[in-house]
Amino acid sequence: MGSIAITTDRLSKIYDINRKNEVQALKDLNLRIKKGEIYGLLGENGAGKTTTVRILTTMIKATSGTASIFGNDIVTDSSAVRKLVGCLPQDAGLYEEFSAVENLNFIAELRGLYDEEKKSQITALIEMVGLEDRKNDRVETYSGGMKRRLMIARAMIGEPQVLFLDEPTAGIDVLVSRRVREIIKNLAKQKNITVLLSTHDMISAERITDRVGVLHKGVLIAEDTPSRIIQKYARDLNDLEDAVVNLIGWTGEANEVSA
Amino acid sequence: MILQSAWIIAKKEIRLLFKSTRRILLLFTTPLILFLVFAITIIMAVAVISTIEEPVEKPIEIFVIQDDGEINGTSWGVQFYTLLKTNNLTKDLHYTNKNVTELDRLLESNNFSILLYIPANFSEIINSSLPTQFFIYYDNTEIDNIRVVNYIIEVSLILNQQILFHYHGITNINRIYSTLKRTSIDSVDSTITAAEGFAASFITLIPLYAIMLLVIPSLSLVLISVTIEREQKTLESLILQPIRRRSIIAGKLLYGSILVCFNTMFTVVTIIALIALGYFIIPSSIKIEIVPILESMIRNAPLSVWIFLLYIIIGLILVSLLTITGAVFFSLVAKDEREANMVISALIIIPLVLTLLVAFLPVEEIDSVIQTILMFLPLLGYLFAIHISLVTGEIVFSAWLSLLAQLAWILIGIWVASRLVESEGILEISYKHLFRIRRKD
Ligand SMILES: Nc1ncnc2c1ncn2[C@@H]1O[C@H](COP(=O)(O)OP(=O)(O)OP(=O)(O)O)[C@@H](O)[C@H]1O
Ligand SMILES: [Mg+2]
Repeated sequence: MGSIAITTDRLSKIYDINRKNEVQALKDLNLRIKKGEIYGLLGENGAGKTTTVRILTTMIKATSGTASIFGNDIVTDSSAVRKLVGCLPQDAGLYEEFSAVENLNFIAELRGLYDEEKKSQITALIEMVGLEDRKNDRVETYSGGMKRRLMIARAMIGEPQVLFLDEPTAGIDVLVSRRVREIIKNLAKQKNITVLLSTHDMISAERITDRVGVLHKGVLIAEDTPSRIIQKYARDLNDLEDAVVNLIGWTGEANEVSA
Repeated sequence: MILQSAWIIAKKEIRLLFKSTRRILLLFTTPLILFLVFAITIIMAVAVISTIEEPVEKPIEIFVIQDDGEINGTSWGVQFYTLLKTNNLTKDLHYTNKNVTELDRLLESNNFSILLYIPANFSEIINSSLPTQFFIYYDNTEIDNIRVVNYIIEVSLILNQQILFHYHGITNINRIYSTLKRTSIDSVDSTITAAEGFAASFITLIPLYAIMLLVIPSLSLVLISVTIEREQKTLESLILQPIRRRSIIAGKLLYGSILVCFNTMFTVVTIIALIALGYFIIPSSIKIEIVPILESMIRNAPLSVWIFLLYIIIGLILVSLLTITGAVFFSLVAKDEREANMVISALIIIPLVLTLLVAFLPVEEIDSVIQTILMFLPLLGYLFAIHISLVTGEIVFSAWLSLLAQLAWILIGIWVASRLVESEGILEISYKHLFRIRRKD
């Protein structure tokens, strides 16, 4: 058994909506994710997936609880964590007037890459996401899916050990979606990179994740391999979507959350 | 560490700058404006000059009214007049004697270049060992008149008596200049006239316009560079990188400073080029007259003038940095470029309007404590300090403190902006949220 890549311990987050109202976005989350594992985070809108990713990538601070990446505490060793981690935020953007290469160049320099190393990584990443023939065009001329692919490449600059991908396949066509899945799978299998993936794409989750966790209103209500989740919770159809729908209960209760 | 990432960020901003025509135009606004203004001025000047015929050299006529009588066999008035006619400086001038009865009529008509009036009791007062007075009336719209009056003053210093000046025509730069250097010749009446105070007010506005011209384009560019991160949602991927978050602030400040330097340099080069151009265009007859005046102004400028210039330059540097820091801070809070533009425009207009007010305020009537407090304000304080210095003719101690205050404001700005970028609210912040997040911190 490999070492533990991501550990969280009773991680909770409370947001202030305004002066009077608060939202508990995450409640006592305990995760143990192994090195090289692809972990899928599922759950309805507002379940707390993005919040988890943001806390673990040091973008925001948890209200209580602790977490660490390869033993580095996300609060006290945040700079070590940021070196180990690559992230594709849910709602990210690119410098529209820069080309793909220029966008990657900037991030590579911030991560301390220079000259040959920088060039070879950027070339490899651009090839990986299939943007070679457009790599010198301005990003503003790209389609939504091409931008998303470039952002995946950006998340992987500096060879991070842990990748956080918040809805990587949102707005991507089936062909590219399949390609992205392959990319993620290869990363985990060949380079032994740990991937935490938040997604609404049940096919991706079912096919590439080693384990999934289902969040509901900030609480982790189930955690297992996709096949066992299906086994336990699927009723009408024998797939992950049906299992998750049954799990979180597509009832008035869930409607309340998304409203 | 911070500097290295700051430089990477600044470099990125510069690359981005050249990706948009709008931003390139902004960068070159100041030189373009200057170029247009100078070009129009030169074209107009050439048009005017070409219509003027070569001026005929006409000696200045000095009217002398010698009303002094004899006391104990000597007349100091006559002696003074003789002195003027024999001294090397003044002996070649063209004197015309007038009768005292004509004095009122002459003064009323203003129909003379220079009028020297030595009053009836001149000798009497000198004999009783008191300082006496004589009067010089002149038309100060003619540079030559001023020169001649200065000669007369110099000769009269031998007598060590008090001179009262009166001039008609416009206030000119020479007078402001002598206010500034606080002409130490005791005999010169150096109280500030209303006109001079007014001129000082106008001079106060010059640094303000320099700031606007040199800093505002850079300010807009910095503003864009900060708000674009939020609008294009790149801020998130920026704070995800293994860099100190405050190096984002440092990077933007560095970018802004580079822009201001570039803009200043470019403007100076433009001005020099235009002056050189003007030098070749202006007819030599005018050059011969202007160049020596400028030369003597520079050579004879007392130390205080140079210190004053130094003060202005240090202040301009500080105020530029202050403006850039302000731009970074206020656009960091804004949710988009529009909001940032609104807030920053309002903030720029306030000192502009207040400076107009302050510049034309009778300074003597402001309490000195309030004066000092005013000088501590950001941006406005510096302009006010310049105004006070111009009016009082020296750089008062609190004016130097005002520079320190500007530095303090810069540091406060950087500190607050760093705190802001390190707080987790940075991703969602807007002016609406600002108060709430500050409260939570
Ligand atoms: N900045 C914020 N301020 C206040 N509340 C927030 C903030 N961000 C998220 N929330 C709340 O926290 C809860 C969890 O949000 P989160 O973005 O983590 O959900 P998610 O699982 O990523 O949802 P989605 O599938 O829609 O992306 C939601 O109720 C949301 O309203
Ligand atoms: Mg989300």
